[in-house]
Amino acid sequence: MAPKPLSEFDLEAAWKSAEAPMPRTVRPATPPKDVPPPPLVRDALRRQYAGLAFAVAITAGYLYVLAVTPSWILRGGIAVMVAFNTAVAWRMVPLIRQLRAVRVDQALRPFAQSLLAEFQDWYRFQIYWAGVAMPVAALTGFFLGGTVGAQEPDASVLLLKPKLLFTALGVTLAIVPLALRLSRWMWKHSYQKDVQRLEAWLADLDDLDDRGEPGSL
Amino acid sequence: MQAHRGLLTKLVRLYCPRTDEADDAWQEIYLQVHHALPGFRGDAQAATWLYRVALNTLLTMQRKAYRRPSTAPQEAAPEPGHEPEARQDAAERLHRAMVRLPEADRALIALHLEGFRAEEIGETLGITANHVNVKVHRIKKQLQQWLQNP
Repeated sequence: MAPKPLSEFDLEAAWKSAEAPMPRTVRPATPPKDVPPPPLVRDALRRQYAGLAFAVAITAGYLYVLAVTPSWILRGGIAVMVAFNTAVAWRMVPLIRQLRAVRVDQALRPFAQSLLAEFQDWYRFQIYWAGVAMPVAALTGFFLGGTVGAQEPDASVLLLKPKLLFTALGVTLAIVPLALRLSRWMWKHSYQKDVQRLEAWLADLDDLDDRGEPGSL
Repeated sequence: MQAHRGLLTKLVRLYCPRTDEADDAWQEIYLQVHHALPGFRGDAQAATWLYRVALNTLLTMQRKAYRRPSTAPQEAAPEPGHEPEARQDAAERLHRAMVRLPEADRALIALHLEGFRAEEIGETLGITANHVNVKVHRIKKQLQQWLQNP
């Protein structure tokens, strides 16, 4: 083996001579029985549980309104929202299960890939459903507000007012891109940093332009 | 874990320069190792398995502290008048250079400098041994460049 030039920094020796300070933390004598998943997974799970609880609470509210409202239009809108919330909760369960199943003792690359796939799944789910649910919620709200504001006994009366009806549809259509934007913003606000970090690690690991042939360097 | 405390501590320091972050990371790694231990089937070396858990835990931490790799490390500069010994100085210079590397590269070069074979590093990171060799070569070149022309 050819000797290294004198000017070259001895990486190995410097690394071995490093005396890293020991942690101050005293670990518990007996580890807790229920160990939580890794931090990022824990954070994502916490958000999903919160979302699930929110969906259940909102659905309970919708069911109450559904029981007391006489208007068939409002009932229809609310039924769509109840169906949406049920679908959200239904879809969240496997996402939660997948997240809980992420194994922390995998090799780094598949671990990062599986986490990234989870977040991407969640993103698609949230964006697509927001495109449907938010306009329906807006339309329902419009009819509810219109009925209460006009002191009409039934929202179907509003259907007889074409100008009002077109305004409602126009507002609903305008809400679709806004809803998608809002949904995207919410997702970015929650997960963008984590996703960027996972992507950066994966990009670093995959960073080879010569397909792993050392000789071509 | 005791046997690998040295490398684990160096790894934690590479990702968590602040003492409170490092303490949290240690605690978290300890918990995650304990959590994953029943799943250890012995098909990987204990050390490889341990560093997988440690690195995956470190990857999922530091949400607030995340910054692009090019950013200068938040290391406190040595106080004037307290010159460390030559060996520690070299170690400190190396540490600072390593913190400038992209996060995944830090783990790779740390395992290499600790004496792990390319196959073992590949098994820990999920890449091929060839890939490891190429990256080690490239990272070392980069480190030499930074250390010789800071």
